[in-house]
Amino acid sequence: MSAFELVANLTRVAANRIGRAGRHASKRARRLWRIGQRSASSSAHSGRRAVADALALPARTGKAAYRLRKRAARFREHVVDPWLEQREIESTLAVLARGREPIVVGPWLSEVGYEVLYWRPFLRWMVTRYDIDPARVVAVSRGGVSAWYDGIAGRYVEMLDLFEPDDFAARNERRRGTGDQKQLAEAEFDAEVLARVSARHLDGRPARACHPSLMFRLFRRFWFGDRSLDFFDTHMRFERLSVVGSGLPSGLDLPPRFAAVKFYTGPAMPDTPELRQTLRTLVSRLAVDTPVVVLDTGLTLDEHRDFLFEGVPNVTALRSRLTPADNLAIQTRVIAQASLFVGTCGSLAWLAPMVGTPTVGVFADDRFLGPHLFVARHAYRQMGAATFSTLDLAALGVLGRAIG
Amino acid sequence: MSRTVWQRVDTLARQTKRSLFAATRRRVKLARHGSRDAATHAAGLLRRMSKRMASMRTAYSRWRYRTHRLQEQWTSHRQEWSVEREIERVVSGSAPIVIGPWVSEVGYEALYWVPFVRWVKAAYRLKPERLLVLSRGGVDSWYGDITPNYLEIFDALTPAEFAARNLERSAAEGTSKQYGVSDLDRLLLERARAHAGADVQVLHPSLMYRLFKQFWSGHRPQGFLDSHTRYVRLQVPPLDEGAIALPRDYVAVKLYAARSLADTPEHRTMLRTMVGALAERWPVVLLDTGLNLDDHADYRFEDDGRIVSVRAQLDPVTNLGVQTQIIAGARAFVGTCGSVAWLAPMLGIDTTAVFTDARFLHSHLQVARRVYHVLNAGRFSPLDLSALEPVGLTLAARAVVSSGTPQP
Repeated sequence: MSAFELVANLTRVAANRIGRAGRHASKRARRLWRIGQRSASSSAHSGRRAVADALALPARTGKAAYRLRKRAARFREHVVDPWLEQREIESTLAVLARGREPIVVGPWLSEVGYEVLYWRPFLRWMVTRYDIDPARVVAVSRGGVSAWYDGIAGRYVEMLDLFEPDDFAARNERRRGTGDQKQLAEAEFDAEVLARVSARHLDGRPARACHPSLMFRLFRRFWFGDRSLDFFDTHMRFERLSVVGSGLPSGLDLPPRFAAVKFYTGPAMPDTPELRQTLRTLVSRLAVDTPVVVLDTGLTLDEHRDFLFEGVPNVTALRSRLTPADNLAIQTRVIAQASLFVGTCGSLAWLAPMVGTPTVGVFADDRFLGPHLFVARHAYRQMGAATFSTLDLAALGVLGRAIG
Repeated sequence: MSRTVWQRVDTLARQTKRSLFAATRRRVKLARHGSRDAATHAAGLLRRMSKRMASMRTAYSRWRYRTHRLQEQWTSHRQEWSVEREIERVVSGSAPIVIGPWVSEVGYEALYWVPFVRWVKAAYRLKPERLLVLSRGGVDSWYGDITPNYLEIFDALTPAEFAARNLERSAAEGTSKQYGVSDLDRLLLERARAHAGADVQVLHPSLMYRLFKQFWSGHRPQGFLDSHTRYVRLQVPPLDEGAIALPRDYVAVKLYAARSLADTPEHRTMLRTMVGALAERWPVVLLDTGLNLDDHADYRFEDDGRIVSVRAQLDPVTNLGVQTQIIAGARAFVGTCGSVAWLAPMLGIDTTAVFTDARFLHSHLQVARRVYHVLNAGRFSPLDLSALEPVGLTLAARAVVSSGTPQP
């Protein structure tokens, strides 16, 4: 190889190497440039995000705080407040139970249904839970319902012995007008009843009162959905009601086998011409096979009015046999002797299974009945009561002529 | 003289005897009194002790009762927290979530599961595209407002296979409720993974069952259920014209044998009469499927022009979806209290739910009543057939009803 060729080769090699190095360098530079570009863009993006995050932080914190506040408020409303209220009521009951002074339970001025389904089992629980001697307890109610308080109260005071029936109805009406049908707080009329009870039956000593508001406040949490069915098991004692002896007014001869019927107006049974007709048909059908005794009182002691079934064959009305002071007692005894009770779902319909009478509770609107039906079925199962079934008139309407 | 002497001697003898035995008598008397007092004291002490023991026993039993209750409450709270933690684990991250597989009763799906899933979605702000519902019978419309993604179980298993495996599952677990993940669930989840990818989370029905068990058993209030469900009125697309020939204005009827409406000759007669009388007023569309997918067999009534069964037109894969559409187009729904009877009011349809034994419906009726009133849904009227006879109302046999024997 000549020197010229050698130099040319070396030059070519050098040029190649230089070219390759240059390509590598440019490639690296391009890559670096791309990475730089990317990281710059990413940094810009991150920066923008950081700024956006920083700007959104107050809003986000505000939302989280709002959520937390809402949850805390809900927790307080549904858990803490009911618990505190329950503690307060239980302490009140414990204080009442101490000592040997008489305890007045009542005065019961609200609906019959609540008295039967909630008040009586609540008092029975109270007497057992706080080991109260029933001889200390004075029950104050109306309609001669002393039998309902057997085993709970040693004494019974009839409010209609303290007030004239019309006066009582008017004052109770006024109480409802200023407050609520439910005795959620002690009203002026309650205080007046207690004063009269104290003056006439407790030798003027001030009464230690277990007011129905304690029960209403305790259980309204269930009606609102904040308390479980378990809560009732720990604050009520469900027991059947025994009605001993006939105790019916003289001249009232009941058939050996009959159905007791009590239909009254209320939210579950609005007073409409169609419903009146339906109920009349229902009672007529019932009376075909069984004598029917209608428990209409003719008394206007509350806002409910009885449906009447005049002129229906085989139907007897109890109205003329009742006085205000014994109307509920007699109705209870008649129901206890009946082979079936049919009536508006509420009031005495809650009582009938407890005295061992199979019951059909009829309604046209169950809007306000849900929790009570839930409790009633549970209570009847617990106490081994008679069968309780319900009849929704709206369902009958759909079936129409299927029902004969 | 001698008498006087004798008297003195006698007196002396008496005095001597008295003085000799007086001390002994006194001591005997004292001893007698002493022992009587001791006995009285001992009896009093015993009485007090037994009283104290009795009160201690009462206090002890009260304490034990309270401890037991506290333990129960603590256990139920722990179960609840564990379920909530599990839900949080499922929804965390961005992996797709399989909702299901739902293989138990239709009624629980309509009344509890769908509203529960709706709550999970709302509470954890889940995007619809992350969710995939796994159920059967073409019920995608029930989940329409939750997610458009729906996977049909009957695409993976034939109805017969499904029914057999589900029966095995119920027998093995001792309940038809999905309290755990069964082999059938695993098989179906595998298919779901093949569809949605291996990396999926599962919102299994057992979470809902475990959570709401506390409510059904009375340990939790209605508010608890309210705070873990979201109920809405359902919107379903109308049935394709010509898909199934239906009368213009009809009542949808679905009556099946269940614990609350047992299969007895009397009930069959009553139901036959009822359907016949309904047919006198409006055409009746029977939603009997003829599919034996669970232990609830439909009561069958003969077609006679006024009573039309859609049995022949129902495809297992879409049977529940189509039944839903038929109910949504009806003027009213009458059926056994359970299953689609819980769904019908949510479709805005007035519903008569028939039963004879309310024992098994206790808490469900309470939930349904409350929810439908709040939703302003279709009117829900439970009809207790056992209440009719006592009040002299009968569902007597009518000539209009075909004499064919209904087959549950």
